[in-house]
Amino acid sequence: MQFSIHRIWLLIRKQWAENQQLYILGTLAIAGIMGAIIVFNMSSRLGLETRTQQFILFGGAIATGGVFTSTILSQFNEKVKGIQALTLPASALEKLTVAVIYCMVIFPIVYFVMVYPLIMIGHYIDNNIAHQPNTLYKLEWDDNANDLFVTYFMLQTVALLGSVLFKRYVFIKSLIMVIVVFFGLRIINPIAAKYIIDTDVKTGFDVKVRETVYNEANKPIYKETVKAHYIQPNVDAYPYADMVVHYGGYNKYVKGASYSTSQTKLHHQYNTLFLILLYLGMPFLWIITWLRLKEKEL
Amino acid sequence: MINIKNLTFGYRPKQMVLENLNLQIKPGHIYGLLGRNGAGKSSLSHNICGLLFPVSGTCQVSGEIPAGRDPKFLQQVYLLPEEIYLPNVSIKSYLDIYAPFYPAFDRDMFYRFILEFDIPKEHKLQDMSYGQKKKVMISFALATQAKVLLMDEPTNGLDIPSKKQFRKIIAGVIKDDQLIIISTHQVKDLDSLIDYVLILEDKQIILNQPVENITEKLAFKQVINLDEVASPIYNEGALKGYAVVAINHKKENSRLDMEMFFNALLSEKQLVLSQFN
Repeated sequence: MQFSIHRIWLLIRKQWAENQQLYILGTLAIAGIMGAIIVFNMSSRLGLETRTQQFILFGGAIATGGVFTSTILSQFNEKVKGIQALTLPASALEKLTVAVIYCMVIFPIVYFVMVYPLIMIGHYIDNNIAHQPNTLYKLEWDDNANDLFVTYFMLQTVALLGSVLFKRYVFIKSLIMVIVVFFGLRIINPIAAKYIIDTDVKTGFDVKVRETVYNEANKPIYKETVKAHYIQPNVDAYPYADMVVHYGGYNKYVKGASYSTSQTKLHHQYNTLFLILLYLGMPFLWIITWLRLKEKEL
Repeated sequence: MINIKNLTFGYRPKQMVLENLNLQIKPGHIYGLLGRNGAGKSSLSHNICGLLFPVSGTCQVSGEIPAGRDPKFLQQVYLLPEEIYLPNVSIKSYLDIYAPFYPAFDRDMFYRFILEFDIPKEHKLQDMSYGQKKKVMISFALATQAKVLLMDEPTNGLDIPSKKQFRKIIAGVIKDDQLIIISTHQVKDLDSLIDYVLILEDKQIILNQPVENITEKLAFKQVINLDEVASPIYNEGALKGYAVVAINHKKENSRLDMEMFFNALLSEKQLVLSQFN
């Protein structure tokens, strides 16, 4: 396996030198489009809400990043450019590393550095001129941001794979691949869950439930493990979501106050393991992309 | 240097372009690869530089398997395709981007060829004519000092003076440890340059001979009447009489006419090949 930092640097320089005009114009175009989206949302009744800011920031990153990533290895799919790309003295691993650096490091940095200030400006106008009481979305590392970043990197990884799997219409075909996988899992997962849990709707099933009572500040004040009997389990779960079982309407008195149950989450004790497997899916797809690039013929 | 054994290659499973092809090539020579359209010349070149992989058989270049596309291998094998891609940068920028990938790249040599080809150095590559771009790429290919240089129709797009310059440059640049394979239909441009002839026909290399062997076995003549020639193999009507390829019984000296030879071989394959076996 050949890997040279010097050649990586040469490839990064080559990518920039050959595409700088396109990248500068593309960056300006993204700024223009995102600016227009921000202005459009500011004119809505509730102005530029915090959730909208987050959606614009990450939704834009995923969409524009997908387009960018699907073009990064496109020269390997064209005959004339492909000859030069494939015979350039650098290993497939080095060529892929440079593509990953551009898509997963340089692009998101440039995007966030450019679009976040636009959101800040939009929020300032929304707040101080339009007098909307919205708060600025802050880039903080919470579960939500984590999920969005994982989604971003996962989709870029799939787009990168698509760019070496398909010769033409790379973006469209990659998008179709993502949609097929997403809806495939969405359809298969509840069926698999029902099959695994094997619940009988007529007779129900007995389980132990760890009940937690929360106060108004959403802090747990009481915990108890009780036996319960479920009649109608809802196993329509998304992949990687905790399974939710209907358990609504039961009342309980704790410290003189009446509390009612809403739902029960079946939290798998190995959830973290499955999440790690999901994260490992990215380097796994990079390896497939690398192998495909190694085997790529003209 | 190049050792190909029983190489079979095809773009579709049941349509082979090359079948059980064998070829051994030594360094220090310029090889002319001739063949009809679609005979598989480009496929063979692409197998040699690792752009295509054989279905079966082996291909070794300097002891390495091209399909591995190892950077060290790619530094030693340069393919100049017929259609070239050049980014929208100046010659200097192009050198800054690409030359560092080739450790033996000689910038002085490159600029010497650019000067000989009369290319304006300050122009952007995209602003140049096809012929000028081709000359830049020929200069670049030679300056890499790759051990194996594969050129596909290198004189396409070159004007008449440039073809002469090309021949002069190539003849002067080749070293004992280098080899050049030129795949072309423009044989008249290069017949004074090539010292080995490779002919690809029926999915195989059917002839691999040095030029002096060909002119020793066959005579290339211009005659008024065909009766003047003993054992003619092939003739074509010329302005005054005939151009003839004949068996060289008398060991006469003649200059190889590559086009005549190729046509003679295609029309009288067994008879021509039997002269070399």
